[in-house]
Amino acid sequence: MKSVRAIVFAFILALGLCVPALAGVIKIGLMAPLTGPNANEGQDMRKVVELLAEELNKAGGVNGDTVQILVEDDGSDPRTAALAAQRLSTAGVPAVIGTYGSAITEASQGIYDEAGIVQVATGSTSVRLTSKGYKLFFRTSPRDDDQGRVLAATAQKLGSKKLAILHDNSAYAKGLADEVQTALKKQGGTEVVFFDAIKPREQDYSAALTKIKGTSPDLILFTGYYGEAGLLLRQMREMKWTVPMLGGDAANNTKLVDIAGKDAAAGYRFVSPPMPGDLDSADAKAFLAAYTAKYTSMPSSIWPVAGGDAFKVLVQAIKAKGAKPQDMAAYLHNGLKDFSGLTGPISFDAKGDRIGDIYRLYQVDADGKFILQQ
Amino acid sequence: MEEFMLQLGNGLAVGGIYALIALGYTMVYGVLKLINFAHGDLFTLGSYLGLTALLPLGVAGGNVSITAVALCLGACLGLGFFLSMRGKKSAGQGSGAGKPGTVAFGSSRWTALFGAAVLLAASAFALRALFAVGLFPLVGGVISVLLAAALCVGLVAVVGFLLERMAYRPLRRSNRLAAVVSALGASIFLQNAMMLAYGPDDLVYPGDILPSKSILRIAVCLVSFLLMCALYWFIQKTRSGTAIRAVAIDQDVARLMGIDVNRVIAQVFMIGAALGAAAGLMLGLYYGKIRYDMGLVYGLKAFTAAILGGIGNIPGAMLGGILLGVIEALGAAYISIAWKDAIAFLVLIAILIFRPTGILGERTADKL
Repeated sequence: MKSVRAIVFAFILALGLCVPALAGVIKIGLMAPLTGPNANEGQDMRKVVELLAEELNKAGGVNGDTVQILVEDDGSDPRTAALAAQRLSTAGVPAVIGTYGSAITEASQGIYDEAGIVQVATGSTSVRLTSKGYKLFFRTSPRDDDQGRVLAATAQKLGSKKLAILHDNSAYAKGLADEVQTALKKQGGTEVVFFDAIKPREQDYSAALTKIKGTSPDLILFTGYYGEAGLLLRQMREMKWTVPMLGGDAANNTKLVDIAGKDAAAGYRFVSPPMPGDLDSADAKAFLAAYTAKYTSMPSSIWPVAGGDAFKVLVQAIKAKGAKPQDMAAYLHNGLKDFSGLTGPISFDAKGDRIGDIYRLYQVDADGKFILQQ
Repeated sequence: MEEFMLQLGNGLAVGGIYALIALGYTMVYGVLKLINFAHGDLFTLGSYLGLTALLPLGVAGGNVSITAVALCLGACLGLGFFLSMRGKKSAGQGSGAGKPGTVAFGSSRWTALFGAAVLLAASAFALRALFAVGLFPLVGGVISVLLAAALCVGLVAVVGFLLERMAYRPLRRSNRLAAVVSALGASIFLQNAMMLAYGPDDLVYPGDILPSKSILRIAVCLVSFLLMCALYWFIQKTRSGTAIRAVAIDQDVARLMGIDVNRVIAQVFMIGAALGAAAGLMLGLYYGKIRYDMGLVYGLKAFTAAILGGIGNIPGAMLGGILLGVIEALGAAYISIAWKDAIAFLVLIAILIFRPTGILGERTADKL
């Protein structure tokens, strides 16, 4: 009883100490695809960021201020994203986390830059996002051309002589497909026998597969998302065609195995940053345990966790330099070195890109598990 | 040549689905001159409810749950409701014109319904038991698919009825634009309701319900064709079909002739929704992956197919669907995969320039 009373007393005392600080609420914007084709990524991203903010506020906030997350839905749609960005710009946030798709981030960049708001994108890997000279733009995700290089090297390591490249015409997948093609042309040795796009969010890709089969490739590279990758694998198996398939990091989602079926998914390889379950730092393990305890399942991919990292670096910047966007950006560019994030060490270069190679090769085993290849 | 035949097969499979959805658009348009934009979402709802029904019944897992029983009851209610409306109508016609019928909750019919519901629930349990001991996987698979079909088709028919009652009937006498906006609203409502109820993720049908995919592929085309024939027969040869055609020609005169126009329109919506649900279930079984917003793409394609064949025209919807699927597949095969939609719609524009009312012509009363 006594101890309870002591805790209550301490709590009241703490509250009392907090009173001057309560005036200070730092708002951070989160722009994520809560609806639309990538809604699952967005919903998880929101859960991750809100849980981190909750933990932070429980531990006393940042410099005594509490952090409040303002969430806006971008619907994976550039127009919706522009509106969301405008709403956040007028809400008095010094910084915004988000968003997932490259084309969606691109639609919001100019708006945030004009409003003088720091933006940290979380899943947007298109190269040109950081080549526009926006001083306040960062990303915790790597760039497509990093991945393109790794994918091209992997295709060669797998001994491919005739490669078929397929993308889905999204800014992300097409950018990646182009990078791989360029890298392979430079190196030689692997001939690209097929290069075309399928339309995402359809169900039937048998026409495309029949056509690709006509060019008899020894490896198929599909740079698009897991839903389509799963369907492609499933329909290849139904055609009784057994050519190996390789994918990029958008295939990194366990739903792929559900969609394709274990038999069809077995042997599928993809290149990706590590998965939530493979993150081995103590911080990440503790956070994911808390996440699983609260929401009963792991985040479905690394990108919501990268959203958490965006939150962490922003908090770190506020802790170091205060909540002025210009100061935060200067700190992120120059002051932040090998910050221990959930997805690994984080530093940013002068353009706002994350430094360092975080890609790994995975293969699906017979049980449908994603196995990290050494 | 072999590749051509393969691509033709690919096109037919896709076209069969388009055709089945297009039938629903065409039915409603033929009677009401209303494009039911929510039809694509009723189709999606069909595949979601089909999955809900198959999961507890199926091989992959789960127990016979409250859901299955509730689904059985709902489906029986839907079926019985439809039957009771038909029955009342002919009764009304028999006893003379001018008496506006109300759906009487006559005790004997509802008792029979309850009996049927209990029977269905019992058979669901029996099926599950069959699987538990691993007997007759093929027979069991087919039975559970048929059961799921009955459940989801019945339930979606009820949703179609409610949709007509709430979103369209109050607007029937107002500006046609109002009904179109209401249809779009209903579409968005259904889509978001499914997202909230089932989550934004892709859902996956259990893969082991039916053993062979190549049979399924033929089944998709065959079922579409049979349903079209059945629908054609229903419209042309039955009493209810005659009433539907009469309402399509002139609602006011039909009312004067003693036809309960509201009931006929409700029937049309229920049939359209049921066809959409059947398409949704087949899509789920065939492709495995379903998504809450897939009704948008399929609805658009099917709508196009209906126009291509001549909107309001039942054989036209079938022809348009198959044609669109085949053009897409061949366009992908011989020109470019990325451009296949552009090619398909280019063909559509060309056809509409030469035949503005579609290949088989727009609905006239005797064609529906």
